[in-house]
Amino acid sequence: MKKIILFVVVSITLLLFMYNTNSKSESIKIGFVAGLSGKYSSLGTNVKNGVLLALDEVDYKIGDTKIEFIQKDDKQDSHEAKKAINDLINNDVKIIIGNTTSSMSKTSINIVNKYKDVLLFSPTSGSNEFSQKKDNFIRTQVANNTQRFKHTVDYFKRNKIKNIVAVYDENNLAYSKDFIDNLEKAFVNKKEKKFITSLKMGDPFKSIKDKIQNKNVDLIVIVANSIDSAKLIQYLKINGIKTPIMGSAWARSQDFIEEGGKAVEGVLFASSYDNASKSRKFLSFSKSFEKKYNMKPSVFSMQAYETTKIVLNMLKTDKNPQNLKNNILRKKLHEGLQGDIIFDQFGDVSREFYMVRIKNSKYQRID
Amino acid sequence: MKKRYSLKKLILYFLITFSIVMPIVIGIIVSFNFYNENINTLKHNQKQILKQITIETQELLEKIDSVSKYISRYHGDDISILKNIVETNDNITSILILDKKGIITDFFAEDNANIYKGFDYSNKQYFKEIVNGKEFFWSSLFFSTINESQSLSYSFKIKDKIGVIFIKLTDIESLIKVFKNSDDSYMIRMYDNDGKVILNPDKPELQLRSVNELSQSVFIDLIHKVKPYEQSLFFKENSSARDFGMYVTIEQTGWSIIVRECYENILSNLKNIVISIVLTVLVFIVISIFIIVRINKILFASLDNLESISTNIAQGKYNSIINDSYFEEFGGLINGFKNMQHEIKKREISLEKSVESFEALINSTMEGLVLHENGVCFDANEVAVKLFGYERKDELIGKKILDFIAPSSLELVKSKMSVDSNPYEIKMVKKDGSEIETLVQGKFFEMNNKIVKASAVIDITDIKEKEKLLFQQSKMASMGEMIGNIAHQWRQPLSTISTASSGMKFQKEFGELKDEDFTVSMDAILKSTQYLSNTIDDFRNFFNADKQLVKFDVNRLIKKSLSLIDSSLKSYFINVHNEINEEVIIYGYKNEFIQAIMNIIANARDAFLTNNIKEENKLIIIDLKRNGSTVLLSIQDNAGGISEDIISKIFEPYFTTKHKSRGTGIGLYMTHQIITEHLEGEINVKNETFMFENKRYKGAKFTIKLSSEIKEEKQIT
Repeated sequence: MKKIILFVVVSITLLLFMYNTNSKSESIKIGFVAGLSGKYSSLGTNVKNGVLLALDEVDYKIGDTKIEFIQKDDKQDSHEAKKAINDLINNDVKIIIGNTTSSMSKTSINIVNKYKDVLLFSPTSGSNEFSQKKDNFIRTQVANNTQRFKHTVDYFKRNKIKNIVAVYDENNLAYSKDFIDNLEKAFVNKKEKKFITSLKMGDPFKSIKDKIQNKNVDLIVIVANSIDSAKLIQYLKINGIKTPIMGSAWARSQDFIEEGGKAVEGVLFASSYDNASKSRKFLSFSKSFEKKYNMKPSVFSMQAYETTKIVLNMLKTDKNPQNLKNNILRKKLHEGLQGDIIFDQFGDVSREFYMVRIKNSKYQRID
Repeated sequence: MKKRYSLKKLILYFLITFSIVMPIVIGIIVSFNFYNENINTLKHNQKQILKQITIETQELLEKIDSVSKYISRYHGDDISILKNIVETNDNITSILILDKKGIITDFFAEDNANIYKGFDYSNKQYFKEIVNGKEFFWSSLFFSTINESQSLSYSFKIKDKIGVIFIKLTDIESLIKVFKNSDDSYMIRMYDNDGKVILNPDKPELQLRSVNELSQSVFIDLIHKVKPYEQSLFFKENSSARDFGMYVTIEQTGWSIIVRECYENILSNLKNIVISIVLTVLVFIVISIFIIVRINKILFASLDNLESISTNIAQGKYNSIINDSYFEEFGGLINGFKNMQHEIKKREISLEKSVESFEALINSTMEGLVLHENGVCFDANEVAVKLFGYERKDELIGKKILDFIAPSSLELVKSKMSVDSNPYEIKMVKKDGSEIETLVQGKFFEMNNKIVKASAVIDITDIKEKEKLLFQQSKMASMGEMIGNIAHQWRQPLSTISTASSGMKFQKEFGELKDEDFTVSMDAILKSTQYLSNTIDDFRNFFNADKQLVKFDVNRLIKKSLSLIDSSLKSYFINVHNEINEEVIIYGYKNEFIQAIMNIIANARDAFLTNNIKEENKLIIIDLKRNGSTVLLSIQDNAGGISEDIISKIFEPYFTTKHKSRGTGIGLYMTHQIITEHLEGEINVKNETFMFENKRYKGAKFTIKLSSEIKEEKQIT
């Protein structure tokens, strides 16, 4: 009888211990916030695909620690973005990948900066507003500073582009206006004149067309998402505008080509992403991406993948999210898919840029 | 030792276990059946719902197909056909007509988000699939730039153009919102052929986000694992919570329709029932245990009483009071115990008396009894205590048996220690060191599961002394007999000497003694003196101590005996017929044998005198027969026999029919002792009538049975 009681007590203790041990198993929460619905979802979905691929590769684990991935949709709306970030922070998430657009990132940065231990890591937010600041923000997207446009302006010079009209998405001013301003600044720095005009994407297409049609324009720069950009280009083309057009990195996705059809043939982009890269890491990434999603990866997916990889690699050595930014910046040089990614002291990166043109429905490097 | 169990505990454990296990088993079976029934009901319901949704979906697809055919037929004739279709059909949000290059030639959309005729949609998948040869194409979920929302599309050929119908599953969405689970969640989910969420009323944002759940459990554990309409468990999207449901796939589109219910909710519905069952079971168990304990208490009180009674009886407390039981059955048992108590009491008294009698008997025997195990004494009777000169039994207990044996008997005793033995004589040592003559016998028997030996000891020192005395007396009697015989033997030679010497004297006095006469007379005297000398030697040899076991001829010794008594016999005119004419060798003590033979012959001689036999032919016939190693020696007389009323006593010591001047009563006793004890033979006597030289005679016949084999050397004392 005593043996049976002893056996039962030992078994229960063991089970409780095992249960306790299991229940105490730690996990790292990684949050994700992006525009996942509506016309801005193209960027958000591309970024999410890159993040998920990187997490898949480590089976949602860092060593023995599980990764809990929590995603939120900011719907490209400030109110939703605030709610999403606050939800994540309230859920004790310390590492957040996102947002995907600068406007949303700006909203989120204002919130995360109130916390010492929350880090926002954006793969795609390019606004120069965030540069040169010691904050809780870090990114793998190159900032829209004059340096970043040097190569683009050089191209303009080589091709005698002088009269430029800009169209920007006023729903993502943090990026689009910043893009236009810095491009113009870089252009002016090359002793060129200012842009003829800057038009809002929200204006009727006809109005935009008319304003361009009446002017002697060498290049139309459109800073908007892929769908809006493609639609505007379609409209301009069917209305006889044959002026060369340059898109922003924001629009540089497969959706742009799909939506734009033959109308977007010849559209220029300044990109740090080479679709034809022979980098071993990039080819391996592309293969995995195509296998998982049955489509080719975009620059956003690639940058999201790189961002997530950097986060995961750094967490391997130190799981404390508070130390993550410092650890990333201290290491400075991180391996990217198409070369090294070098962070400056503020968490900004620099990349090499190429000029890309759409030819036969593909992005092709032209220099 | 075999393990013993408590009957009380066993019965209590069994009843309690039974009262716990049975309700639990029944509870489990009921719960399991309830669960199965619930699942089967759920399965039936889910199947019905799934079928209804499938039918509705099929109808929608057929409707879209009909619309496409209608457009094919009438587009171009009616410029408002597209508008009419979109406006009259809730499931269609917009329709595009593309030329063969993918340029929009006509379209109508509920909401126009900057779409214009002339837009190039040649890179759209719904265009490419038809251009590449398909008659129609159902797209997976995509973001429609026409009305800027998630949409499905059906593209089809219209002669040299391509029609594209943008579909919103309004009707199906309305329908599936009808089906709710008890937790207020919706039952239905729909996925396109890529695994994207088409409809999820619970989380419409997943639909808006085009979330692909191909890598989720719903595909891994349900759609890609089991057959349509088969139920399975699968995890909710990015959750550890589980759903339970089934699916069906729409063949034309590859869409998967899921019907599900939260498994935890199913369990929670069951939980209430199970809790009720568990509570019922617990109440039942508690009541059962209470009743069992009560019944057992009463039952075991009776058992305890019985146990107490039996313990008291076992401990010899026969006077304890036996209480009556509450139970009829135990009443009978208790009466039995009462009777048993009474009977045992009676028997114990009887047994005590028997033991006392037995002890008195044991202590009243002439034998000393010693019980010993492995040669160590553990009990003895009072006789033994006294026999060995002790005062208390305790002094004997624990002593080695061999300590009581005199050194001269030690070897003999050792040889008989491990076997049952017949009575044999040994010398033993008393407490004070003096030796005693004893007759002992040892027998093994089992006592208290042990093999012990009981040795009976009789002190025969006195008997031995008497025996010695008897021998002495016998010798003395023999000596008297011999002196008589010597007298008889000497009479003749003395007479001869006397006659010769007196003759010579007279002849000398008369001067007539001649030398020849002198020589003759002297020879006669010499011969007589020689004869006298021989006679003396013979008698002297007879009286010599006879300690040696020797081989001797029976015939020769009989002749010797006869020669010693010859004169006596002749004086009574008794004719001895020794019919032995062969040498018969046996082993024994010569003089004792002679003494025995002489006693029998002397007894016959005396019988002739006693019986006053006038018979002229007084006969003593000695005969011998052999049968193998057995020698039968018979000595028969014709003195009329021994009276039948005393014939059985003639070998007893001091028994005589003779006058005190003649008989001592030890002659035949000694003969018997010599034959039976020293020569290990047998002797018996009977009256017999026999024929001799044609005359019938009657007399006593002594028959001595001896063995001619070598006997074990025997100590003669």
